[in-house]
Amino acid sequence: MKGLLTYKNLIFLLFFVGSFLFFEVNYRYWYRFMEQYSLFLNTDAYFSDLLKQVGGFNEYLTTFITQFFVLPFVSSVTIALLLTLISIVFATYLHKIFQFSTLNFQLLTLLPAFLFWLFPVESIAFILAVLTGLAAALGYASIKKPLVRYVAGFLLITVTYLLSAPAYLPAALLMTIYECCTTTTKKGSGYTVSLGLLAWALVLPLVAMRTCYVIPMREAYFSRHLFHPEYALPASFWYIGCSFPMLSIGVWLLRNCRPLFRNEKLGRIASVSFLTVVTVCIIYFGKHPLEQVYHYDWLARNQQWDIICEHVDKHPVKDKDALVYANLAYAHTGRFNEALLRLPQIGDEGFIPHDPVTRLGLIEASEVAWLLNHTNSAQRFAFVGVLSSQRNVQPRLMKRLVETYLVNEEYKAAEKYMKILEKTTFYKADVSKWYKLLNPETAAATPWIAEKRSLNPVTDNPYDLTKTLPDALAFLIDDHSDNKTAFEYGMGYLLLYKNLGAFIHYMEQLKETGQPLSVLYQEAICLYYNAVENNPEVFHSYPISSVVYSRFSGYLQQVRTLSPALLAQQYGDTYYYYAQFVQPPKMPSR
Amino acid sequence: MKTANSLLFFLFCLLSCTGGKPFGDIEMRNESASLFPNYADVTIPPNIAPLNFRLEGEMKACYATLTGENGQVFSYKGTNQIILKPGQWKKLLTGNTGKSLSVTVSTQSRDGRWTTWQPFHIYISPDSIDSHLVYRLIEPGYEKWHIVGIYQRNLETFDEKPIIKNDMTGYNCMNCHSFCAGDPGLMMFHMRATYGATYIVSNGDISKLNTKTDGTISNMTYPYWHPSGRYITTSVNDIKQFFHSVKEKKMEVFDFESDVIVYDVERQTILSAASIITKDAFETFPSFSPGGEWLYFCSAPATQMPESYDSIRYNLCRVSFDAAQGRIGSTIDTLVSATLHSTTFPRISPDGRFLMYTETAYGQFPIWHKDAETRMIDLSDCKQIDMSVMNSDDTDSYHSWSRNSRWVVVSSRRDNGLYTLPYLVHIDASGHPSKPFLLPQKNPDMYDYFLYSYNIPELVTGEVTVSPYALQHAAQTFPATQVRFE
Repeated sequence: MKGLLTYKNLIFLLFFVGSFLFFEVNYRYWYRFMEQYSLFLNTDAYFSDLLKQVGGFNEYLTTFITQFFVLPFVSSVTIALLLTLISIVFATYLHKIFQFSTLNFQLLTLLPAFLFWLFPVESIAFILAVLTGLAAALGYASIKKPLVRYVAGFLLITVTYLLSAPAYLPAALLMTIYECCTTTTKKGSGYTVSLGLLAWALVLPLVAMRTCYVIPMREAYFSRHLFHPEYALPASFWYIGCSFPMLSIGVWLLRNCRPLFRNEKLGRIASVSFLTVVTVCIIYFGKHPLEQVYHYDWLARNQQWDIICEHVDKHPVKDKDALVYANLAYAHTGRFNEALLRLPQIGDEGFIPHDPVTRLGLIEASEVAWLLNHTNSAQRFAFVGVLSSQRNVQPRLMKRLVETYLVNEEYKAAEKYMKILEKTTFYKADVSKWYKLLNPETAAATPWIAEKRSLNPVTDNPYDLTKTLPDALAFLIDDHSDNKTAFEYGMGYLLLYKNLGAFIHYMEQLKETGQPLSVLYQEAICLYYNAVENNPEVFHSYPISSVVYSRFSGYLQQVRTLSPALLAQQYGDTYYYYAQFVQPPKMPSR
Repeated sequence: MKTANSLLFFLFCLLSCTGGKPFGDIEMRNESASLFPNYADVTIPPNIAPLNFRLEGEMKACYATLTGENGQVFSYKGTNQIILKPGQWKKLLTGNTGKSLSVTVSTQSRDGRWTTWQPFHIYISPDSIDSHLVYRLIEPGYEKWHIVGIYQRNLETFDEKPIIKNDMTGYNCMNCHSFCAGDPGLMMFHMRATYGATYIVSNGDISKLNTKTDGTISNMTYPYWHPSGRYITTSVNDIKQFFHSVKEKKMEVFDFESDVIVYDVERQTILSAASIITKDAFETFPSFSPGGEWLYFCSAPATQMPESYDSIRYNLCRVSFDAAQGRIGSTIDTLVSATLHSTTFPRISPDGRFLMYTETAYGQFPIWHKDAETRMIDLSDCKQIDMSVMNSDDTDSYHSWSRNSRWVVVSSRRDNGLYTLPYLVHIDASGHPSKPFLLPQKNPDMYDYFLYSYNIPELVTGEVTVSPYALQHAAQTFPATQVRFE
């Protein structure tokens, strides 16, 4: 027995370590991203308001724990711990029924928890609900006296429903299975009670709808907090939810099968090895497809634009959302010219998401608008990002709202969100810094606000950055030619689509300022005055370096003689090569 | 020694426990405490829920004494909130109707010192307010919404119940609830997108209507009931919006075109003879006079939109309405000419004496116009009444009258400039408004964390009893009846 316990602990320890590694390696930034979609408030009202809702206590716990996901390792440790607890509680529950001690079943109890690896959930609300349901079932199964157990069953289902729906569903199912499977129960009353428990679990939400709550049926059964209420319940909800009763029934059916390994020691070694191999395989192959963009989003959230650039310098950009952050990071750090042609450009949508509605799209649109100094748009996308989120809160975008309201001198609106954020654990530090900015004079004297105000649009126009990017950018640049990020973005857009006429118009303005021109700009100017407008006098007024010019001259001499491969090898990084040989991204239809 | 210590500790506790009352060297201040909501010197109805409030600033404790003119005294303590007991509050209201309450507030600073602030007064009007307020809760916003619902709040308590929520109907948009003369049994509202239709609830019977016809440019939009309950006048609008780039403005909602129509509820027909369908003018936001003999509306000369969005101004007009024949007269009177400002939301007091409307620099949708203010005309002499007490430096827009014409609820963004909140205002017999006060809540901090606007607050005389599930069932299963146009 002692050996078995040790083996059991080893299995759970392995699973815990595996879970930690799986989520830390593959989902670290995903859970930091998801942290933004809950907002735990340190107020009595927050607690009491949630307690009045179906499954509200579960949500309270979820948001309380989730707020710490901004800290290193917390999400991975928490989820690994919860999944291990689920496995332990489930194993203990099964042990209560079957008194098994064979190796086969020990590994089987990990299967439902493994499903959370295959279908990682957005918030831990579902994990907590499952754990609560299992704990309720285990508590039920631990009561020896039948009558007390029956009464406790009905109470536990009711309490888990109110506090942690849909925990009551697995709880009721497992209680039913317990009654049906245990041999100590008098069969007749056991079946009756199990049916009663199941019926109570099914009827309870309907009773609640008619007595306590005015809510849609889905919310009455499953609570509104587990998944975004506007979308269908994910299939993984059913897979995971049903896995516990199905597995319980499966174990019951297989209870009399002989173990795979007659030699217990050999069985243990095989089990541990099998678990280790499976764990390593899933960790290796289970990468989140969007982990790169969530990584960049995390860096953007912390204003670490340089680090995004460094990462992009070393790693390929994997998707269009990551490309938006890469383009923005380069433009904001003044390096867009060197990266424009290197990045896998896709056109408009690589600069800003088109008419965004997704979580990521709205955040990106707000970030782009903010750095381009289109404060109204940054505010608008932040606002829509907040209200369309699952819980109608998004602290990161709420912070952006405060910033935009401060820039736009809407102090009362800024204070509204500051009052909310100051009741949080991790955002209140920002708020305490901002409170003094509610004084108009202090705000005006604050450098970042003064800079934003100085670059705010002054010419009203109805152009939406996400729908008519070039028009909106043109207004931003025309209003403030010193709006560097907007300027880099705008020139990048023009060069990408080979609009050299418009590009030269802005270069003439830039020339007047006496600023040095980037190599990319110089190459484009060389091309323009060679291929479009033959005006040597104007051309020589641009500060074109001799290196750029001689390379361009060499290109002109060799373009007809070199093979395409050699030409690409020698000049593939130049704008004139791009302009002549590379197909630009498709223009968006408007 | 141990006994002496215990005795000293007991004495200390005894001295400390003064029931939360201010004690020691109390500083008397000749200035008012900072309250939220600011209930100082407001006029309230005798049937309003307790005016719970919060004291602003850092403090260890607070204490308030409410003294009625009839001698009743109730005291409350808290950390920074004063939460009144409903029973005692009711006694104060009934015992002092037509009189004032004096409220003395004291606060204890972190170092233990008490300050007593200058008392303020609350005047209890003998005029009751309609018992319920119906409003839509929606994120103030741009082009998107998430969870929307039409709710009713019992003004005499803190009870709030949903009438219908969009999470029961596929997260569609629902809007423009309207009641016939404040009758909770006769209401209508629209749903858009999923289950899109106009819903009319008449004493529990629910009708679902498709109101777009070949003769009208859109579904019914901004409605108002005829007092007989037989007709509903609404505008039909081709609505668009755009977003500004400059910090002074947020967004603009405007009509490409609009008309005013009258819908016959009994015959399920839009009456062209009672409608104002013109190509050379935009008509919108209609309402009937309390007697039903006049149809008020806003009208502007048709112009190119959106180019003229900031120069279009709406006149406030009226035309006679013959309810028996279901037709309008031929002469349109202009009551307020839009020379400098634009008018919108005309609402006549139920006694027919006052015409309240909203004035803004341009357009007819003032929710994002900070300059929007409430105006009122005394129809007995057609003179403007000074409404400056009622207005704020932020948007003041929609308004609804109580049945006795003595109370108005007005939508205002004065609290934070973003979320519209309902303020109640007493209007005396000669039309003068009192200081508005914010709809009281059980927890005065509630507004701090609340992320919804109170949209279209309508005062009604009782509880709307139609079940939300019945409305949900109607939306999901009833076929929409096509209304006719003749």
